[in-house]
Amino acid sequence: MYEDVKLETSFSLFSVGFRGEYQILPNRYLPYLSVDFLANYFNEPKIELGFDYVPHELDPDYWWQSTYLYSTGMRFGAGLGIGYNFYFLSRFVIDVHTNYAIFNLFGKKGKKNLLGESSIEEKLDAINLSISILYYL
Amino acid sequence: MNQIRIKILLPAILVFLFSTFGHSQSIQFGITGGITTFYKPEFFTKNISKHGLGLKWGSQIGIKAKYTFSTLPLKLTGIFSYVKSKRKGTTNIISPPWS
Repeated sequence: MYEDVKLETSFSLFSVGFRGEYQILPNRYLPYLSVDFLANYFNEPKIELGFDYVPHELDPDYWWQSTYLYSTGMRFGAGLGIGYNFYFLSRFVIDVHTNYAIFNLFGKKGKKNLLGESSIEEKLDAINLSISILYYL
Repeated sequence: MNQIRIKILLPAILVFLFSTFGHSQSIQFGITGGITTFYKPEFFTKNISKHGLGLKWGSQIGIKAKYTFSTLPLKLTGIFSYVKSKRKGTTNIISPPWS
């Protein structure tokens, strides 16, 4: 009656962000607070089946067919975070930053599932941890 | 009254901006990378075996440029990044009636 099948899922997005970093105290050894404004281009999540699927009219509706996916397109988001700069070799900075971001605060689109049904998009939020190596000009 | 305010405020803002940009301390640029941990929605993060997409976290890579003002405790940063999340898993399905 039941069987195990393999699935592979993927999702990607391009993000262009504009961040303001505010040093609470004028001391380079203290962390900074950040506010992000993000423009995010979502690529629709993909579900690949690990078996050859030939649609049949007697098929039951599999759960992934009724799962609502984000549609491809642009959304706008925002984030709040904290970071710290490590200075080294006089010309380099290591910037460690973490923030909480909502990727689709504005510009939500309708979601569709593989059965063609529509629904309202839910917010996609995340905690990001990034390390940057920056060079002083 | 509003016109008088604009006449006074606009030059003041311009002088402030020019003086701030004119004494910029530095521009930094470089590469960035890290991890993104998704929290919501539930269908997105739930394990594939529990009928979700299993996309709990992804990796990010990008470029970054930072502008530092000397007269303000403020830095402006521009970031371009790419976030990718991918999972493999097994899930339980009802077998087709003819199998």
